[in-house]
Amino acid sequence: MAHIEEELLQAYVRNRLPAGQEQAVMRHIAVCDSCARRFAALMEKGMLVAPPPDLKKEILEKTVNQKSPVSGQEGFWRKRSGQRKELLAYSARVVFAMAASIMILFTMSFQGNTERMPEEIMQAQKKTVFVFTKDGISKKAVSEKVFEESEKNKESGQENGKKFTDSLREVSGGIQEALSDFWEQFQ
Amino acid sequence: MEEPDIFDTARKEEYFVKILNKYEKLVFSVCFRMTQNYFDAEDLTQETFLAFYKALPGFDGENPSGFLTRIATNKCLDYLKRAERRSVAAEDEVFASVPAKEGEPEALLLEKEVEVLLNTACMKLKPPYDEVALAYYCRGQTGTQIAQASGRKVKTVQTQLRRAKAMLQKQLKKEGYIWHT
Repeated sequence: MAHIEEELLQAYVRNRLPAGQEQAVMRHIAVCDSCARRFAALMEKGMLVAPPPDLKKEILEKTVNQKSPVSGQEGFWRKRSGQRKELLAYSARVVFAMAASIMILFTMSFQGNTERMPEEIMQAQKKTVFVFTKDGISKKAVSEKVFEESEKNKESGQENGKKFTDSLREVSGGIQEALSDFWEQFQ
Repeated sequence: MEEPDIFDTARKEEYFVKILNKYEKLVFSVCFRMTQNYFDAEDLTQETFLAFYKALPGFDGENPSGFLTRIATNKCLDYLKRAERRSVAAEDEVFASVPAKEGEPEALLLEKEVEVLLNTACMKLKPPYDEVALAYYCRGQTGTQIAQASGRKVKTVQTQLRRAKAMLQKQLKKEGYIWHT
């Protein structure tokens, strides 16, 4: 179809065309820059209708003032860095847990005092509980193992050295397990 | 209006806002003219500007009104095709003013007529939706302004407006006005 004649375009704007012709006009406007511009100019001469008041705001929110995550490239990278931050925070907690556990076991193993042990064991349990927030089951298992090992430690201070390294292995094993569980979700 | 610099996000966004301010009413009017549905015209206008925003990097700045009109027309054509499919499938008494129909063209709704129509429809809503809808659709107040004036939270007003909109659409469809939904 050639460019729309001015009369035809005006008739379309004023709704004086039969339905079949309307479609044809619309299909041409859809692909023709100059006829589209002419149509727009005619509309501006008295055919404008005011939109609802918040339309502009809604459009701005979805374009220039985007707050919510977009699908696609941007959203993908935001999600990735979000996950990385989570992993980093978790790793930091794990390192802290290990350091704290090592310190406690260290303190415990060099205490000849059997009376103070239960308290420190309880503190070890407590400290481990607070630090591991991810998996309830694995944190409990770690504490129990530490508790069991430390119970045996009540007998002699000499055995403590060996028990200390054993307990340490248990703790780090538990941490490794919990860490690999967490990492799995990113696979 | 100067051409947008595609490598400068700040200028690109500034340009977009300028275009939005200048042509929002035009794009809405085009969508309304083509669909004769006030509420769907709103959605289609949003879609048009979203598409324009995405196409901005490749836009040379020439003839923005023509470009926007083309996008809007394409969106409206897709919309009418979907509406036609729906009305054919539904086989009910929907007054689908599909352009493919032959015969007398339906009366065109001009701005004054839209105003009257909306006014009447808004007043029929049950409180508090009637007053919220009237303030919004008939007095041109934004959701934020309504919230401030009535002492309600903005979120509350927005929810009420959403519900009012759904009720208005239902009511106007029932009354047989040319609304494609």
